[in-house]
This record gives sequence, C-alpha cells and structure tokens, in this order.
Amino acid sequence: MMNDLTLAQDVVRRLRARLNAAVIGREAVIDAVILALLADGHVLLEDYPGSGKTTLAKALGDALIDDETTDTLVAMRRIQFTPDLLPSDITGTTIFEPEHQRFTFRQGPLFALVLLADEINRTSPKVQSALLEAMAEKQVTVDNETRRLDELFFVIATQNPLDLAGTFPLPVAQLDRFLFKIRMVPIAREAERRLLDALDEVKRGAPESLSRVSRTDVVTARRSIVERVVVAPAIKDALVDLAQATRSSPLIHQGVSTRSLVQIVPALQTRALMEGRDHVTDEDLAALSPLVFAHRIQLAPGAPSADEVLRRCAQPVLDKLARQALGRR
Amino acid sequence: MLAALAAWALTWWVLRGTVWFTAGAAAAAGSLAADGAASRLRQRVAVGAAFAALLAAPLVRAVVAFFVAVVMGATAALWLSELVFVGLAAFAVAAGLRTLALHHPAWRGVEVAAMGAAIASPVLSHRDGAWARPLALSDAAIQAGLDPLHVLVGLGVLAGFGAVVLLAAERTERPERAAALVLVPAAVLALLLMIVGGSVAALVEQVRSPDASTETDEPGASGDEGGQDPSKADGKARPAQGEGDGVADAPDGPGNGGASPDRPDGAPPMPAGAGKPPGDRPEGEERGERPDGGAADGADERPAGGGGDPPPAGGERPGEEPAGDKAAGDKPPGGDGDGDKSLGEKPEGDQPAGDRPHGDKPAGEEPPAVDPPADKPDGGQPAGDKPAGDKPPPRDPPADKGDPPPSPDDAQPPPDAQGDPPPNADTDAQGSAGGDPLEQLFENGKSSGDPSPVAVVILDDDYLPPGETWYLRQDALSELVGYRLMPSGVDLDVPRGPMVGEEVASSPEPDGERTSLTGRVAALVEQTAWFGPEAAVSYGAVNNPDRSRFVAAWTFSSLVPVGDASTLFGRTSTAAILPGYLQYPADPRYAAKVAELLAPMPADLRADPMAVALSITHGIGVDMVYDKGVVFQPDTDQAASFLFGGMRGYCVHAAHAAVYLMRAAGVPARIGTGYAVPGTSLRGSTLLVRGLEAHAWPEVWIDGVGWTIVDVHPEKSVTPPPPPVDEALVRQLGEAAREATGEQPPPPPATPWRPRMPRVPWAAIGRALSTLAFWLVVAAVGGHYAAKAVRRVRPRVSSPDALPRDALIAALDALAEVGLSREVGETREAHARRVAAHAPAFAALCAHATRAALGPGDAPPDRLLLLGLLDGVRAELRASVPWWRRLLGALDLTSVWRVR
Repeated sequence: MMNDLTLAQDVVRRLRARLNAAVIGREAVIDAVILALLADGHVLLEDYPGSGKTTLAKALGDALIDDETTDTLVAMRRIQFTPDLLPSDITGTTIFEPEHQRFTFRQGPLFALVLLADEINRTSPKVQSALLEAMAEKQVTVDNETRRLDELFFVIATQNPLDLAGTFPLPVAQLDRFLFKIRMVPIAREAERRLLDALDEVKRGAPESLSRVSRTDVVTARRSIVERVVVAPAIKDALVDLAQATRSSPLIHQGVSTRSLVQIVPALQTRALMEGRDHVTDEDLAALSPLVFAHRIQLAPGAPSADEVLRRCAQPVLDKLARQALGRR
Repeated sequence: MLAALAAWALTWWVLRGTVWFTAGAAAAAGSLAADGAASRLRQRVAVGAAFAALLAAPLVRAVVAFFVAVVMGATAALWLSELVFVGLAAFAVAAGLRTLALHHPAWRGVEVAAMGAAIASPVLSHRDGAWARPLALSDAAIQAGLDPLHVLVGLGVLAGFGAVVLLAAERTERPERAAALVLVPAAVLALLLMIVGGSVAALVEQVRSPDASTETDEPGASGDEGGQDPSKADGKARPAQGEGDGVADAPDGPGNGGASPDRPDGAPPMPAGAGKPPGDRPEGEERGERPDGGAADGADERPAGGGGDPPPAGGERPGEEPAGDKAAGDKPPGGDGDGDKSLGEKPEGDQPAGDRPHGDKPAGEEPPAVDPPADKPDGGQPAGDKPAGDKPPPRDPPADKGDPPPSPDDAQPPPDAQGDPPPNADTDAQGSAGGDPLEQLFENGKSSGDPSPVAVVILDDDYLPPGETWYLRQDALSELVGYRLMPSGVDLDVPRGPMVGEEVASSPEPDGERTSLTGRVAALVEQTAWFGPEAAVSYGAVNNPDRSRFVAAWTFSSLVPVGDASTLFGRTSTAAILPGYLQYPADPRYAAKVAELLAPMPADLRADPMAVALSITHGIGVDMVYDKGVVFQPDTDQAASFLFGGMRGYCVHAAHAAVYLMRAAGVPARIGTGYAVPGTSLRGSTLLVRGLEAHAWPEVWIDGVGWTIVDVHPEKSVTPPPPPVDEALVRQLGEAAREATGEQPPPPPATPWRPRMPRVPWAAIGRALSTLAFWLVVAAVGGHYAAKAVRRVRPRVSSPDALPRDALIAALDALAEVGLSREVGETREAHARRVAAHAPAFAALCAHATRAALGPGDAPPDRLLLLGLLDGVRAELRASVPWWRRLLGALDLTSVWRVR
C-alpha cells in the first residue's frame, strides 16, 4: 500500500537529512518547511535577525537540483525587500536589445525554485501584492504577458516581529496565501552549543554524501501524496466543523477561509506521510491546525492568543474525531 | 468553611438542643481550623490528628462525665460530657474532611456530600421536634423490607467505595472529575429517592392505615420473622450509629430515644408535618429534648429529683388499648397480637412508640385475619406522624381485652438474640421497643404521653396512699416470654373482660394492712380495661356522665394499703401461686446481682420477702439513670442490658430488672402496669390521671396482703419533671364526672368514626419509587460490571470489521482502569505516546484501530496481530502497574465512562 508513497517518503528523508545537516537545532521548523514544500504551500517565518532563516532557505535551495535542463531557472533566489523596491524588480522586466532590435524579457528573482523573500513587510504593498500573486497563481504578468513560474515554486518569506517602524504589515487577506506562519523560537541550548562546535561543517554546507532531491522528485512526490494518502470523510467533516467553529466563536472576529481548508488538506496528507502513515488522523489535524489557521483568523478584542482560541475551537471537534475510532458519533 | 457556617445557619432552626448547636459550631470551627492549619501542617499530620481526636472523643466524654459528676451531679455531667463529645467529634470530622479536600480535589465532593448530609439529616429526622438519626432512612429501609443495618452498612460501603474510587482516579494522573460528577449525584439522588419515597409511603400509610392490609407483603409477612428481624435490625443498627460508639451520630443516640417518645400521641394520624407541633416541644438541651419526648411518652418522667413521684407508667394504657385490642381481639392467639405489635414497633426503631398506636388501630378495625400483616405495615411506617396525641384515639372500641395473649410465641425473641445484650446494652436499649405489651402501653401512652388527662378518679372516701403515690393498676405482667414479661391468665386480680357489666377480681382476701376504698373513674381516652387504685377487687360499668367528654365510666372497689412497706416486714411469701412467678431469664448474672445487693443485709432479713424486694428496688434506684430516651426492645434481654449495662432506662427497664432480681431471690414477683399518680395531684376527692403518668412497677406477693407494690425510685434522671396539674381542668373534669349516675352503661360503642381519606395510592407510589430507586442503583452497578466484562472478552468474538475497534476499546478499558484514559481533546496518538511508558504495545494497537477507522478501507489488520497487541497491552500493564492499583481498577465502576 505504501509502495506509491515510497518515493515521497524518500524525498522527505533526503530533504530532512540535508537540511538538518545544514541547520542545527531547527528540526521542527525544517519539518514544517518540508511539509509546506511537499504540500505546495508557502511559508512565512517570523523571527529575529540572525536566527538562521536565510541559512535554512539556502540549504533548501542547495538540496534541490533543477533537473529541468530546458529552462533557465536557478534553484534558489533571495530578495531583500526594501521600501523602494518596485514590482518589476522582482518579476523581471522587458528590455530593449539594440542589437536585435527587439524587446526581450529579463527574468526577475521570482523565476526560481525556491525564493527567499527577506523582510517582506518592509516593502510597499504593491510589491507585496505582486509577490503574492506569483505565490497564488504561480505566474507573473509583465507587459500584459503572463509568464508561468516553475511548478515547484516555493516561497520562504520572513519578517521581523519587533522592528515594525516603517513597515507595511501584511493584511490578513495576504497572509492567507501562506500555508504556514511559523514563529521560530530560540534554539535549544545544546543545539546552539553544538552549532558552535560544528561551525566549520556548517560553513561548508551539507556533505556531498547526502544526496540531493531533484525538482522532478518533488513534483512527483506532491502528486502521489495528494493521490495516495487517504483523507477519510470523518476528517473532512472535522475540517468543516472546525471552520464553522471558528466562524461562530465569539472570540474570533473573522474565521478561517475556505481557501485555508483547501490548502490544509494536502498539508494534512503530507504530514501523515511524514509520520509514516497512509491516512490522515486526528493527530495531523491537531498538529497542523494552529500552524495553518492561527494567522488567518482575526481575534475579537479581549480574546486570548490565537493558539489558545484555536485549541478551544478544535477540542470538541478533535474529541469527536477520536471517538469515531471507537465507533461512536 | 464559609459553607460550613452556612450549613450551620441553615439547620440551626431545627437544632434547638444545645448539643446540636455545639455540633454545628464545632463543625464550622473544624473547617476553619483545617483551613488555617493547612499551610502549617502536613496533610498526614492533620488528618491523623483529626482521626485521633475522633477516637479520643468517647474517652474524653467518659472523663468529663466522671469528673463533672463528682462536682456537679449526674445530670450536669451527662449533659456536659455529651456536649464535649459531640463537639469534639464534629470538630474532628469537619477538620479531617476539610484537610483531605484541600489536598485532594476529589475529596471536595465528599466534603460537600457530608455537608449536604449534615444539613439534610436534621431536617429529615426532625420529627415532632425530636430528631436523631436519619429516621426517614430506616423507615424507608424497613418499609422496603430491608434490614436497616444492611442499608446503613451498604451506604457505608458505597461511601467508602466512592472515596476509594475518587482517590484511585486521582492517583494516576489527574482527578477524574467526570466520575465524581456522575457517581456522586447519582448516589445522592438515589438515596434521596429512597428517603423521600420511604417517607411518603410511611406517611401515607399512616393516614390510611386501614388499607394497610394491602401491603401485607412487606415488612414481615410472617409475623414472627418480620417481627424479629426488624427489631434486631434496629438493635444492630443502633449500635452502628449508636451514641456510645458513635462518632458524630452519637449525639443522636440519646436524642433518638427522645424522639421516639414524642411520637406518642397515637391518636389521629396526622401527617408527619402536622406531627411537628408536638415536636416543637422544647427539645431543650439535647437531653432535655428527650425529656419532652420522654415526658411525652413517658408520662412518667420521673421528676428528676423526685424519686417520690412515682412514675406513672401504666397510664398510657389508654392509648395502648387500641393496641391491646387488636392484639387481643383480633388475634385471639394473643401471640400474634404481640408479634404484630412488635413488628410494628420495631420498624420505627427509634420512634417506637408512636407508631404502634396507629398500627394498632387500623388493625383493630380490620378484619382480624388481616391484622398481622396490617399492623406491621402501619407500625412500620411509623414515620411519623404521630400527631399530638391528645386527642383520644378514636379508633377501636375496646375490644375484648379479654385474651391476654398468652403466649406470643412469635413475639418471643429468638433465643439467639440473647448473647448480645450485655454489650450493646445501652445502644440496644434505644432500639425501638418491641412488641411488649408494656411497651405498647407506653407507646400508646406516648400517644397520650403528653400531659393531657386520660381519666378522672373520684374518690368516695378520704384516703392517701402510704407512699403518697396513687398506683392505679390496670394490668399485670407475670409470664416470662422470651426476655420480657407478658400478661398472663393467672393474674385473676386484674380486670381483663370487656368493660361492661361487673367484674370481680378474684384475689385472695387479705388478712390485714388493707382498707376498703370505693370510687368512680371516668375515662377521657379509650381504655382496654378498667383500672382503679391498687388492689381493686371489683368494677362496675356506669353511665357515661358526659358523652362529649368521656368515653367510659366505671366504679371500683379497692382494698388499698394502709401502711408503708415497713409494716409488711416479717411476712412470708410462700404463696407463690404458680411457679411462673419465679421464672426469670436464664442468666446467672441475676443471681449474682441479687447476692451483691443483699450482701449488706443482716442475715435474718435476707429471708424476708419485703426486705429483699425493698433492697433490690433501692439498689436499682440508686444506680439508675432515668432516661425516657432509652427504648425498650423486646427481643434482647433489656433488663440485663439495663442492669448490667449503663443503668439507663425508664420504668419498664427498671420494673423488669427488679422483677427478675426478685424472682432470682426467690420472691414471687410480677410487673404491674397502669398509672402512678403523685399524691399531689389529688384535688379534693378528684384525682386527675394524665397520660404521662403511665407507669410500670414491680410487685411482690406478700402472704396475707396480696400483691404489694415495691417501686423503683431512680435517683438520677435526665428527663425533666412533668408540668403541673391544671387546677381548673381538674375541677371541671371532676364536676363533670361526678354527675355520673349509677345507671347501667350503654352498650359498647360502635366502631368509632374515623375520617376516610381518599384512596390515592400514595403509599404504593412512594414504595414503588423507593424500590425503583433501589433497583436502579443495583442495575446501574451490575450494568457497569457487566459492561466491563463484555468489553473485555468481546474482541475474541468480534467480526473482522469490528475487531480493531473492539480491541481498542478493550485496551482503553484496561488503561482506564489504571487511570490512563485519554484526556478530552487529546488525540489518540498523543494518548498512546503518553501511556507508552506503561504500555508500549498500545501505540501499535491504536495505530491499527485508527487506520481501520480513518484509513483506506483495504484489508483490515490481522486478527492475531491485534489480539496479540491487546494481550501485550495487558501484560505490560500488569508489569508496570502495582497490583493494588489494578485491583482498584477492576473494582472501579467508572472506568467505562473514562474510555474516550
């Protein structure tokens, strides 16, 4: 039964190995990033400077091989967002080539497999929206011409939660485009110490002995996960119940969107796969709902933290789901 | 602790007695102290201290009683020691519970329940102003045909079980509140249902006692057994709660006694509620309370101080008659009669008295056949209402008192019972009275136990009895039946026939020391037999002088004593007419006691019957504590319990004890019953007889003089003196009675009118409810265990589709039993990870089951694999959980509710 999923599991295994070799003490974040990659979502990392975001993104780009020889994509790009950035700076632009007497399109940094969008809240809303369109549609429109991005296209955006002066915070509608918003916590003490010990190795990057993952592998894995990991009707019921609960809760101003439900399903499937299962369980839902939903709801005044509110909404739903294993409704 | 104060405030209106007041205050203080000490004392120390205080309470009581008795006298000592004891016990219990609750959240439920019970019990048992143990509960139990002891023990077991479960649930992980939330209210609810149902039934039954026959089944279908059981029950139960041992209840112990008494007024069955009025009577100090109660019933409360006033016991007879009649009348085989009564009475345990009357009456009316059963029921539901008894019991016409139930075989206590008496003495004593005729007298008396008048005696000549006490003899008890004395056909000097025409007592003519006295008696209350000043030799019915006031009138002619006891020395007592006058229970202690009492006497006096009798009664009187609160219980040797126990009791105890001792000393003796009216009650030539003057006294046979009363005069009493005689009333009644003419009396009255209540089967409903509640509890308990068993073995027989689920449930059951159930909101995997330390195999089992539920619907997991995993889980739990925890788990009813 798992045969069709062995490739996907292999992809997960190899990505984990490489990323963990490059980034120390961030296993949870690495898993979340891998999960988002395979679930065809994007990730917003919220953390302080110097906490390894860029390292993580670079390691991910490094772990991927672009085996599509016909294109001109690179595995990983990075954009440092600033207030004066313009949309064309990231999408690319048409330039005139005097020699050939014609306009040609110069690809911007969006044309990559993995894009690191650093400090996304520092740039103007129009640049943000250009990026978000690319994330949602996997395409950019320049000079009325729509250009497709790679199917793998995966964005890791970051923002600094504290240094908000002169920033343009992302509205909830745009946050909705990110599958996860991950708040990175300081790494554990031993991990930090180990990192200092392994400074040389970290600089050298992941050892070549750890095999990389090709773009095709990832795309195939995505497809097989969606097709092969079972989402029981009960799980879908629970998802809808949960969404309804967030919408009817007095603590939540605006509940989760239908889009988020659409996005969470592949994420659930991917997590089930990463846990070695071929079916989604309540455990997956319990683990992912805070990651996926916390940044999509608007809390009513006076509500506790989003995680707490979600936990309260999810508890009856999860309990009912767990009871269904006992044949009870 | 605020709650404790609130509880105290809530109940204090019923807590008239100082003791209860103390108990409430001490409980509140205990709670406060435990709160205060919580931060400073370790839990074990605090609980240990509370427990030690509890154990020490009886000791402290004894010490206080001893020392205060020296300084302030017996009554004060009893009262004060009771206070100390109750206060200490309440303090300890409250503090212990509070401490436990502070450390174990699960115990909060217990504390709250205890508080609820504390509030409920006074209210529940508040009957007629006297109250004690949960009377309603024992009533209900008896009603349902259960031994109250069993019920109590069952409750105790349940409570203990509940506590253990709560602790166990809390032990492993977190307190399982759900369990407490479900179980405790369920138990309380069931209990309440039982109580309420029982009381309703009881109440109703009394109201429509006639119907009683319908309920034949219950209490003791069989007169004998029924009779005995209940009584025993009481006896035992008592101890349980008993004061002696008692902890908290202890207080009640005494109190109860009191309670019973109150009920007395057998008269019109009023609903319990109504009954209260009487109740209100001053309960006074707890002791005091009895008093009222006591007084009521007792009629003879002997004035504490005054040995002088003879406890007028017999008086109550009036009331009793009903009983008597039915007893006698219906079941000629007197035996039954008694039996019934006993039955009836026992049930009530505490409130022995009151009920009987009711019981009886009904009986009387009903067809004889029915009675046996009938009585019991009624009696059983003593609950309570014995309305104030002033009103004369309307019921039965004085049936043929004729047949003194010769030998109530049934009634007789089973021999086995004997063993216990001594130990339990006190406690037993409190038990309800048995079917003793005496008792009944008293009960009835109680009914009439209030100060209201039962008869007026008009004397034709001036005469003052030597002891300054008028003994009005109505009956005599001389035949030893079991442990008590019963009326016997050999006593020909007491009137037993129907109260019509004339009757001459056939008694040997005295050769001296007696003088003739004639007069007339007008009874205000139905009587079973005529009575007149001691040694009445003939009676004659006369016309009722005032029908609106009197129910019967008769003349008497008596040979009354002229000299006091000292004039009777030197006579013999050889005329032991029958060997029966020398029979006493086969207990060597009687002979030993006699020897002890007679030891100080000069040798020449030891053969003098009068001297022997006097020294015996004096010896008893010196040591005895007159206490109406103690109940005479027929199925054990109450005399022995009294004599060789605490020496607490009232005239019936004393009379039995004295007669047995006299008989043991070889002096023919019997008990006389009737009324003992203080000489001070004589106004002119009118003697007012009040219900509270009913009395029983020992009599000895003196050759040439006849049956001579040698009464016991207790020197200590916890029962207050009776109210003074109402002069105006005496005058009025006397005048009314004087108008009597000598004409022949009218034919015996027809069956008295009594109101008919609409026959709503409340009693049946109440009983059905309590039965239902009982079976619900049984079914719930049984159902839980059955469910556990079924779920345990089900995986072995499940279909492949259901197997993963059933195996998971079985595994979860096993985990829940040891407190490893899934938390609400916890996912299956998270749960499996949590319990992995105890049962690693569970994770795999859980994964299989989850996959079967949520995964692709392909091949279900292998059967053997699942069963193997299930066995693995169990084996791992066996290895990782201590045996006692698993045992608790196996007993735990609630585990199935914690499977999520």
